[in-house]
Amino acid sequence: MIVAQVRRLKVHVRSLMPATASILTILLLCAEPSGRLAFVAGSELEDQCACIIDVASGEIRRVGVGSFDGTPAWSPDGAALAFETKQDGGMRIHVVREDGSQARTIDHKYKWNRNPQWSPDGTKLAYTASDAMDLAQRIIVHEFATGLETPWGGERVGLLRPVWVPGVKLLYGLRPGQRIGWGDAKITLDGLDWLEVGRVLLAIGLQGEPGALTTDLFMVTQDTALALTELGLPEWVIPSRSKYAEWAVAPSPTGSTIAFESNDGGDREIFVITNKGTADITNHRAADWNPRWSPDGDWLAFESFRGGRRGIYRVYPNTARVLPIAAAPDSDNWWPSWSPNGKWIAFVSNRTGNPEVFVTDASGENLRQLTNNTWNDYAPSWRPKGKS
Amino acid sequence: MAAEGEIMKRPLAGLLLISAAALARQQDGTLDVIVTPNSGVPVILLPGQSFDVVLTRRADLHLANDGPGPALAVEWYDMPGDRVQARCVMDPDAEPGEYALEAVVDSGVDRNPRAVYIRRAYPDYYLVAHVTDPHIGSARHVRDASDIFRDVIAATNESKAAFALITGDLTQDGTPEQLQEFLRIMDGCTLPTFVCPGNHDRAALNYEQFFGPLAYMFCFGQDGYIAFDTKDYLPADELGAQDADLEVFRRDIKAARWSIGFTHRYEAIMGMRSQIVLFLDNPLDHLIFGHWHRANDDTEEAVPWGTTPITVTPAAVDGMMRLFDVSAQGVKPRPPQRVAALE
Repeated sequence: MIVAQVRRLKVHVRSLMPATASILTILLLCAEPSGRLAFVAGSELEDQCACIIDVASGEIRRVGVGSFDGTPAWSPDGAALAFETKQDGGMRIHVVREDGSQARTIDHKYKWNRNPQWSPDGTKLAYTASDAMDLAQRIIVHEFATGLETPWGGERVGLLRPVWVPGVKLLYGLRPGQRIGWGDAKITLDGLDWLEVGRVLLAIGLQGEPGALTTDLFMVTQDTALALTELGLPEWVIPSRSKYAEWAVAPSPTGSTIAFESNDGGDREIFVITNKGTADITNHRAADWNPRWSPDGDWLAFESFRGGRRGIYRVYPNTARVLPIAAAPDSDNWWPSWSPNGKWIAFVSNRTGNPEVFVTDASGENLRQLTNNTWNDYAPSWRPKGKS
Repeated sequence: MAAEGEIMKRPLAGLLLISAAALARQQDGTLDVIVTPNSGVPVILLPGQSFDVVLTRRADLHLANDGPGPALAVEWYDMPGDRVQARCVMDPDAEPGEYALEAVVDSGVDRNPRAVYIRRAYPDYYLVAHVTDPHIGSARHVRDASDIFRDVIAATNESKAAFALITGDLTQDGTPEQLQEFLRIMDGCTLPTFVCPGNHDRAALNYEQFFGPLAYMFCFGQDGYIAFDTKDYLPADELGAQDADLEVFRRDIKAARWSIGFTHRYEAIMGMRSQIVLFLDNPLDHLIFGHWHRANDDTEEAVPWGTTPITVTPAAVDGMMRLFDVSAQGVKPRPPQRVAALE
């Protein structure tokens, strides 16, 4: 209804003075979500295809392979899209321009390649790779300029879900001016030649032995992988987490805060690490999953079962204030993706039956159903640049 | 949905007698008005307890066996999409036994046989029969896979188990014809039968059309059971709705004496979110599956994440099944049994 009102207003402002009309039109356009979203759609996994939807018009364009396509990730400049697709009995990373052109598949050493993540400068992709469907997962970095794949993390296997660190301020701030153990060599954390953007990943690493395996947060460079708990930091900064299972690590847009989830506390919660220490910011007896930072780094959207089913909420990390965005007692809402201006959140919901992509503003108002089809629509990812 | 020439009379709204055709499911074996419970996803309960029915539209609901069954008090709820839910409260004086659930609509009666089982009480100790990988339609042995499966079901009937878990690869190719054949043989089982899909069953959406949900939970007395799907779990990791279902199911059976998962297949790199839910945050007490066509050995006793022990049962298509003793002492697998000849 609000969208219809805005459209009527747009018609009205055209009759005003040109300059005034232009300003009002710009303001009104800001009241509607726009830009483009990547997502995957299919009747089942076999025909799941990467697609791009124009948020304003609803026009959908298929840009994928249509074979188990998943986890679409935009390049930082929004010019290209990477996603995984099933080929040759494994999963490969496919890259395509935003307009669907110049599609190419990376030449992989390993058979199973998943979860591509663009480096902040857009020159590299990091992803998880393995020869078999086992836990011997490695982190691989593909450099577009050379076309080469390089294993990261040294000899460490059992590394999953890499994410690039967009800023290294926190990593220095954790223990400023002090030396820490870093692999075989003693490396100064504030050595800029070592820890610089584009040379550090965060990842989930397996810890322990089979039968008591768990997960931990790792810093990963080309040569080394080191659990944050192995940095030798005071307990109040990084608590010993060996008996807990961490997942979904997410550095803030500036890198000054690291969000992650852990089952520390009896159920799964969202925690943040800052230079003041580690804090549980969603403390609730129901599970909280998958933190996603707003573009300005002020808010974290996350999934929570505090309403019964899976819903989307946001939390202000500085105060741990939690506000609902999209939650319902009889349906699930998941996979939030912030618009580049932080005003809108795209997500998946099965409130109409099968999973569809919806958009709402960050306060949970002005809900719009973006897709309405018989496919299952998953994993929306807002294009970083463009109108929104 | 009507079977030609099969006419039954059912009371409608307590006033009218209508003539309607009745059939178990649709003529091709797929689900009709009633989605769950069905013969692969039944309910087991005591008199006076309630159960949920998922339907494609509202209907007059009845239980029946040889004659009319116990009365149901029904409350209706809307569900997302084209489904409705009926919360049915069983008559406190209901007679124990096996019942069909019937939904009377204008066009006739949809009848799901073997959908509701009423018990007098839940025992502290009971047996569970595990049957997996019957691969109906395959030609692996001299003897027909259907004949082998009939013998396995006959052995299940004689086992005195409280119910049977049939964990996937029900068919060789997942075709409607093979699923129909599986259904015909499974309906010879005198126990409640809980099924889940295997990788061989997932051609198009045929499995869903025959049995409905890929993941569900049920309670038997103090114990909770979760069925889940592991087909193509690697590329499907975290995209869909199953992870949330598992979190809700796991929470719902948190207070259970024993929590038991059953699925077709387990690999250590299956959907990581599912594993966090089932093996790290609130570890299941036992995981039962098939797929390997062999039993697990001493080196394969548990999931790598924690303490959840696994039991793998050899394939029914190879004439095998297994019983579990479930008691206050735990969930204890017996050795696999050969119950059908292959030639």
